[in-house]
Amino acid sequence: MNGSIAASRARWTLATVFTVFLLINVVVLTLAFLAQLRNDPSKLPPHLGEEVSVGVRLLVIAIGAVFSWFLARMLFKHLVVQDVSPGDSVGPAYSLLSYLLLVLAAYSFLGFGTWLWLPGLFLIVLVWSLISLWSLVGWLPMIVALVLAALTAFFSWVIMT
Amino acid sequence: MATRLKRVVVIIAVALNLMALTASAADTLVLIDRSGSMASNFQSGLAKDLATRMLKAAETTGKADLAVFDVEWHVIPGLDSPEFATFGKDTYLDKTLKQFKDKYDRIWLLTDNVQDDPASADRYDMSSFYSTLQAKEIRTIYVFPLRQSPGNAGLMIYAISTGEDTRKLEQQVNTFQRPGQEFKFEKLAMKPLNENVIQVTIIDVEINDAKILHEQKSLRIREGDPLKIETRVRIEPKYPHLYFESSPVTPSRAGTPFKCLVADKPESDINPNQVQTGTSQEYRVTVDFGRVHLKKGPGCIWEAAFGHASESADIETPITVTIPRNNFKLSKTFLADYVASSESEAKVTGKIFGLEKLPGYMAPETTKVPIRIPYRVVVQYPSWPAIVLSIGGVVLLVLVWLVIKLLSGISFAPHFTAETEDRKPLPTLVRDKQVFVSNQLLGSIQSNEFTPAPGVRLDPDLRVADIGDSPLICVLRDGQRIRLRAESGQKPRQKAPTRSTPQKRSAPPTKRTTR
Repeated sequence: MNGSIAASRARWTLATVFTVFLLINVVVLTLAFLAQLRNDPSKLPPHLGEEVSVGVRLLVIAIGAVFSWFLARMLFKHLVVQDVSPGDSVGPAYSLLSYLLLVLAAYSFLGFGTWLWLPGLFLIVLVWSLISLWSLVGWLPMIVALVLAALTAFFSWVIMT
Repeated sequence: MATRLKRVVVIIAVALNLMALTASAADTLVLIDRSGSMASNFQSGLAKDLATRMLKAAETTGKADLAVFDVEWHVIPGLDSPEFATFGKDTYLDKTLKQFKDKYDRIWLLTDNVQDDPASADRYDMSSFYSTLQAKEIRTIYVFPLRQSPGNAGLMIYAISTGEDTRKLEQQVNTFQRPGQEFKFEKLAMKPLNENVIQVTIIDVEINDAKILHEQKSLRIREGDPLKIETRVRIEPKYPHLYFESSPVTPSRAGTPFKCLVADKPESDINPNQVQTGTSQEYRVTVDFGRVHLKKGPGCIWEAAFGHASESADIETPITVTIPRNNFKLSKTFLADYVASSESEAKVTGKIFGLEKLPGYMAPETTKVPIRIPYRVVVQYPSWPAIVLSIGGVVLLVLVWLVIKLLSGISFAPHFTAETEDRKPLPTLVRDKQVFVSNQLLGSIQSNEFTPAPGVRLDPDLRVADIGDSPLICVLRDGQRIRLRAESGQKPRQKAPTRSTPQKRSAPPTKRTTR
């Protein structure tokens, strides 16, 4: 296998997964923000009902964490196979895992108490993923992903209002 | 034969006449007061106009009889009868009503509300008439007051029903009130005066000193929060012509109906404080249970962790307001507009005499008004049971796993065996996560992954390999190929190759040596 092709494949895989996860999180965050602003729980993204116990919510997160970990491991192996060093592969794989966990956390805990943890965690994961992906993916795909995320947030807002 | 036939014909004719008579018997009576005090109303034509309107209303539901009365009564064929405008002197309202109340289902009565009672010290005492209206047989009364211009006493029209079914009376009253007629009458309910004429309004509700909308009907608090409900209730008559004075309230107690929650005070007193306003009575009802806590039983802790996020229960705050008969009054506005205190004042002002005592006769001895203010309280369980049980569960799982591993002799570190391509076993040792084969460092293990040491490469050419994918083919610098096999962490007890035994006993290679 040609080394440059492999690197290129890994790069595009990372960029695609990052963009998809980022867009999903942006939609969830926009809807949550809108629901909070309008004080209208019906505008929240899909979430567990009010009556679901904390234990069940934690269980959903735990199952999601295991599932996310396996996905991250697959991504890690894929990157290593594509000639990315294991040290460089760990960061992107686990930061992308965090996006998936964040979506599951939103599904489990939105509408149950405060929601301010969501934008806080999102910012942390975003910064982490940008730092860990920037050197591997390059600036152009990252900027494209961020622009797409901004557009998605705008259109989600317009459609839901 | 002819005689028998004649008899049959006569019997049939008699039966038919009887049936016709029964069918056409009137069940409503229109009574017109023709006492001397009513003379001016007959002369002006007002009495006839009103009688016509009453008769028309009464005939809405069937045939109606017409009668005039003073100290005697006469059923007359119609308003054009000469008896209609023949006046007497005094009026016996009570005797006339007693005469007819058992014979008709509904009675319409036109009078100037002046009762002559020679037996009473007060000549115009209305008590005996009102006592007759108080009788059990008279179930429903509507009154229509008509104030006149000064010089003529005001008139009263009573619509009375003795039957339980008041639908026909309502029909007649609707006809009587039909718009487009000369006088506009307002229907005033006068009997029964009980809880049906009382309106209970919840003005506001405060939960833990914060106002909530009553429409919300449910309150959400957290476990550990206080539960104090304060409700302001207004009790007032449904109709503006009525008013009742302050009345006593029976206090009661309310209990907490929770299953897995317990309050500081399991029962709370309900002590309504009365606030009298201009037209109504207001009560402030307070229920205070103190703080609400989760019960510490295992069932409740499990329920809070994995059952539901919250527990809801209905809390009732029952109180009863008892209104004595004499507390029912006519409102101040109505008294000022319509009621004269004496017969002479009635004539001068055009108001109606003797009405102020009427509500006191129409109400039962006491009227109990039950007030129930149900509230759905939702108490959110705390998070700690879920967190504690989850951590406990994880710890328990780990312990069980450790015990199973220990009992079954499973090694925690992965165990490797190595062999040449000719399947010759090679001495293998794992120390500090490093794999040595024939005293040579082959690679290292990190999180179930094998990374080849410098000078060793994997086939296929990978930087790392999952040890689950064994056998891993390691190619040494001199081209020698070694099959490295992870054995699921199970310590080989009897499978150890004999050739490798001496090497295994030798001291483990240090990193420096292998390098």
